[in-house]
Amino acid sequence: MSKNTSSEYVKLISSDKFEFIIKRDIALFSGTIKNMLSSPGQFMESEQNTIHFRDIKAVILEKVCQYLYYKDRYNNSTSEIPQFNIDPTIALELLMAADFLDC
Amino acid sequence: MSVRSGGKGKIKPPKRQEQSSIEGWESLCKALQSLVKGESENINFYDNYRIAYNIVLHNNGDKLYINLKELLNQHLEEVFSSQVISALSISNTNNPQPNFANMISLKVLKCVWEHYKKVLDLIGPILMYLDRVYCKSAKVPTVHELGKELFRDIIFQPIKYFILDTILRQIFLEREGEIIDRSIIKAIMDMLLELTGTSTKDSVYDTDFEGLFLEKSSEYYRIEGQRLVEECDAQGYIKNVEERLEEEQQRVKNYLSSVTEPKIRNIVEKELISMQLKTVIEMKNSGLIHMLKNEKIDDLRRMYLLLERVTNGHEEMKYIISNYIYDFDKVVNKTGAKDNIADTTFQEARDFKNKLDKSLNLAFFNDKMFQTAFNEAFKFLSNKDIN
Repeated sequence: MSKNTSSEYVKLISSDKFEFIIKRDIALFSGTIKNMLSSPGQFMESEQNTIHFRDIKAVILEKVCQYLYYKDRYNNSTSEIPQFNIDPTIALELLMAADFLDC
Repeated sequence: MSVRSGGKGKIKPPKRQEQSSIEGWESLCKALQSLVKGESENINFYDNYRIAYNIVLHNNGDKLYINLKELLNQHLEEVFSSQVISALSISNTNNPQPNFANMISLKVLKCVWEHYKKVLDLIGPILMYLDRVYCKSAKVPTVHELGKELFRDIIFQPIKYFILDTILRQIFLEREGEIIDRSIIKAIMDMLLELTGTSTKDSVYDTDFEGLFLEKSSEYYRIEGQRLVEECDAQGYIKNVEERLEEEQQRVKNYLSSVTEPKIRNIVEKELISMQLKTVIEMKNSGLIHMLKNEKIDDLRRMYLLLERVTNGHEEMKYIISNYIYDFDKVVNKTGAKDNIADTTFQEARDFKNKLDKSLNLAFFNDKMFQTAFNEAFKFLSNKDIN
């Protein structure tokens, strides 16, 4: 299996089998994802550019993806930054996921 | 991420992770053991990261840390006894080619170090949560730092003097004109720069290597200076010094740390220029005065530039030339009949002054201080003549 390190997109799969395809450099805003994809070893994740999040639900993972795009858009931006809205019902789970993913 | 306060709906508590900790633990340990050998295929990063995460989350980070330390310890001890010892046994004192054998040992060490760094790069990311949360709060070294410390204690310390001696010997040989394997030396230097001392933040390079290197270099160049003044004339001496300065600069570029550059340069300048200053300038039949009389412009320029490097270099040059001018009438009047001593002296002095002016212009870069000194000296001489 050839190592495709220059692919532009990566696939994140939630526990309930939803697939989120996002740009690779945006995914790298999460420290954990960055390690998984760019670590020197031949881990399964970096080989296939796909990560299975076995214990993160789609609704949470979707919010994480939204956040990563938000971060990319407004990082080092001088224009006014809109607030990132989070539904309180998922807040706690989202917090755990954020801690886990280092983002 | 910030959370907007207010809003309806119950906040759902996160699902409690089951404490299938024992199973996860074993799986993680097995994965770490594979990684320590450098095998990372078929290891699922996510699962192992998740297991480590749970362990730290449930306040068992300390157990994981101890376990990791134990694992690395065992691995390094094994590497030491199997690879390092056998590599060193090649280079025992009975070996007819000790230098060659020693370099082979260093090569083995280089491979061991590089493989080990790869291992740390594999393990580090998986245990990132341990680093971030446990290591920070318990104030212990991170996985990478711990790994390097263990390497230093188990593999480096026992053979420290062997490594340092071998490297210094290679540098000595290279200074004597032999060709050595620089890539191995460079790799070992990089290793010395990355390993930190036991109680300091300084690298092993700073605390153990550099001081010794500078000491040995001083000795070497002291002897070299004495040898060169015996074997060369002034011109040859200067050429040799220029070459040595260049050589040491290249050495730093090739395999030493750049912080050493000014220090080694100072040593060469001290031992080869400062210590032999008078001897070289006053060399019979080739020193400064000889060069001036024979208009050796290139040699003069090189001497000027070389001696500029040390504090008394130019002072000494001015002093010697001025003194020569002061005593000009004594030196010159050996030949010539008594009647026209004054004329001869005057003519010779004028000739010499012309040569001096030319040198000032072409070799001494119109140095004002030199010019002032010479003018004073000539004034003094012409006053003498009148009297």
